[in-house]
Amino acid sequence: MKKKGNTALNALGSLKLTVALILFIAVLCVVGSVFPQESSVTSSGHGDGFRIPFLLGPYDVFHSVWFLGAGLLLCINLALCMMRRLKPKKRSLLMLLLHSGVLLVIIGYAIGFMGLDGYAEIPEGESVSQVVLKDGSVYDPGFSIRCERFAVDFYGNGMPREYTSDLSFLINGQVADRARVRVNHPASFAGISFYQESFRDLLSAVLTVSDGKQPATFTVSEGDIIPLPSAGTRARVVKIWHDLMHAGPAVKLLIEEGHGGRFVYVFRDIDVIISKMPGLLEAMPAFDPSGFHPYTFSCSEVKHSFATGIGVKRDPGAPLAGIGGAIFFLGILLACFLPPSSGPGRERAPVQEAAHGPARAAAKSKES
Amino acid sequence: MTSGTMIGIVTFIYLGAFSCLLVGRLLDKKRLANAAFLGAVGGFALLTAGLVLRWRESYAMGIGHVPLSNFYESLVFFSWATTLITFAGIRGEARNRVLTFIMPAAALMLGYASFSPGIDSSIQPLIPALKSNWLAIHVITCFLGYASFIVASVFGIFMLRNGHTLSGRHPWGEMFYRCVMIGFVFFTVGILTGSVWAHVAWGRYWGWDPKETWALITWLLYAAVLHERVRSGRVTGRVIMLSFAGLLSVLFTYIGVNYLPGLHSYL
Repeated sequence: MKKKGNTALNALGSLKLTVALILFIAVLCVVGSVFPQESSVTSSGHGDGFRIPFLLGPYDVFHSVWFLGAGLLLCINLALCMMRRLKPKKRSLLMLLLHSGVLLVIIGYAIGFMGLDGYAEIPEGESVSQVVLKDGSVYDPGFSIRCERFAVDFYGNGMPREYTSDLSFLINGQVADRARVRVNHPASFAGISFYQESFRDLLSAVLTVSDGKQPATFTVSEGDIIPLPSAGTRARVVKIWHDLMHAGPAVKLLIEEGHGGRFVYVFRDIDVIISKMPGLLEAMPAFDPSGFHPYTFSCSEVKHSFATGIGVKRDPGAPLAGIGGAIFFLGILLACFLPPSSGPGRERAPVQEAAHGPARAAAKSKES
Repeated sequence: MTSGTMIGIVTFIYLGAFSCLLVGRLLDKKRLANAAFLGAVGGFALLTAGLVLRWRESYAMGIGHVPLSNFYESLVFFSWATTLITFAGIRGEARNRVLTFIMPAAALMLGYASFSPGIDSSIQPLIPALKSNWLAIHVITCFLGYASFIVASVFGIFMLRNGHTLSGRHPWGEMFYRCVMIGFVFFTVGILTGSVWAHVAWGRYWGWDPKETWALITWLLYAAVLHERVRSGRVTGRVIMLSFAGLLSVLFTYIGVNYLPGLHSYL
C-alpha cells in the first residue's frame, strides 16, 4: 500500500507529467486564442463572486475546469518536483528558486480574481459614483470621480498624440484629490488605479421651441425628450450634427404622431440656407422649422464635449506575481552561468516511473 | 541615401552571401564561403547603420522614436537580431554552415519588409499606447528571443540530418541547448517587460489577448523543450521536434495572431 502511494506520488512529481501538462495547457491556450472568449466571467470577485463553468465549450477556456485543473496539477507537480530534487547543491537550489517564482506568479494571478476590474464613462464636468464591472454589475468605490476636462491632442498628420483626462476624486462632495490620467500614465486614489481607456464625442444642442405664444429653451443631447404640450405629443432628439451636409449644425427630431412619427431637421443656419436655395422647404418639408403646427423650432448652438472612459482597477495579486516574475528572471539568468544539468541517467528514477506515470497520477488525483 | 534604401540594399547583400555560401559548400571552396561570411558581416554593418539612420530620420521629423514601432520596423529588427545572434554566438566550423540557413531567412524578412506592396515603410509618429519607455526593451528582448530560437532550430536540423542518436555531448547538441536557453531567457524578459507595460497601460498584466496567449504557448513549448531535455539527459529527436513546434509557434505569435482580433494589432 505504502509502495503504491509512493509510486503515485513519484508519478505526480515526474518530469514526464510536467512536460505532458505543459503541452496540455499549450493546447488549451491555442483553443482559447482561436475562439472568441466571453469576457463577462473574467470579472472581479464582487457581486456573486466568480463562477467556474464546468462545460466543454471553447468560449471560456481560461476559466474552465480543464485549464484551472491543469494549472493546479502543474503547481502540485512543481512543488513535488522541487521537494524531491532538493539537494544542497548550487544548481538544485537555483532550480528551487526559479520554480518557486513560477508558483508565485500563478498564486498572484489567482489572488487577482479578488480584485476590482471596472469601467466608468464620465462626461466632461460631470461625476460618477459607481463603476460598471465586467459582468455588468455596479460597484460603489465610496467616492465619486469627476472629469474636469478631457483632451485629445493630434499630430500634424491627424494621428492621435495624447489622450488626457483631468480627474477629481470627491468624498462627500469635497475634492479629496486631483490627478491627470494619460495612456501609459495611470493615477491612483484610495488604493484603486485609474487608466485612460477610451473616449466618446458628446454633442448637445440649444433648442428653442415656440408654440406661437410661449417660447421655451432646452439644452438637449441625443435621446432626450422634449414635451410638446400644445400638440399633445413630444419630440425625441434622434441625432445632433456638428455639420450636416455642409450646411452647418443641425438637430434631427422625431415627433411622435400616432403609431409612427415624423422627422424634423432643425438647422442652426436655416435662414442662410433658404436664401441660398429658395424653394428648399417646398421640396424638403422636413427641413421646415415651422412644419409641425403650431410649433416653430430653432437651434442657436451645437456644443461639442467629450466623455472619457476610465478603467477602474485594483489587483491585489499583482505585487506577488511581480515578485514571482523577478525571482524567475533572476533564477533563469543565473542558470545560464551554471553548467547544464544532467548527463544521461541523472533522471533515471522518474523515467522509470513515467512509463505508466500519468495514468496513475490522473487516477490518484480523482480519488483525492 | 535614406535608411529605406540602405535596408533594401542589405537584402541583396544577404542573398549574395547566401549564394556564395551555398556554392562554397557544394564545391567545397572554403575561401568562397569565408568571403561570403565577410560580405554578411558588411551587410550586417550596413543594416545597423540603416536602423540608426532611421532612428535619426524620425528625430529630424520631430517625432523621434526607436525604429521598433510597426510591422516594417519589426521585420528589419528581426532580421538584424537573427544575424546578430548567429555572429555573436557561433564560432568555428559551424558558423558558415549555420549562416547558410540564416542568410536566406534574414534576406526574406528584409525583402518582405522593403519590397512587399502591403507594408508601409514610412516613419509614423507613435500612438499614445506605444509612447512608453517599455516599448524598446519589450520589443528588443522578444525579438532577440525569437532570433535565438531560429538559430536553435538550425542546429536541430543539423542533428536530425546527421542522426540524432549521436550519444554523449555532441557540440551541436550543446549549441542547440545554449540557443534555446538564451532564447528562453530573452523571451521570458520580453514577456515580463510586456506584462509590466500592460499593467501600466491597460491596468492588467495578463489579459489573454491572442498575442499574449500565443507568447505563452511559445514559452510553454520551449519550457517543454528544456524539461524534455533534462528528462532524457540529452537532445533527443523528441526534444528537437518540440523545438520545431516552438518555432512554428514563434511564427504564429509574430504574424498569425494578426488574423485574430486583439490589442496588439499594431505589430
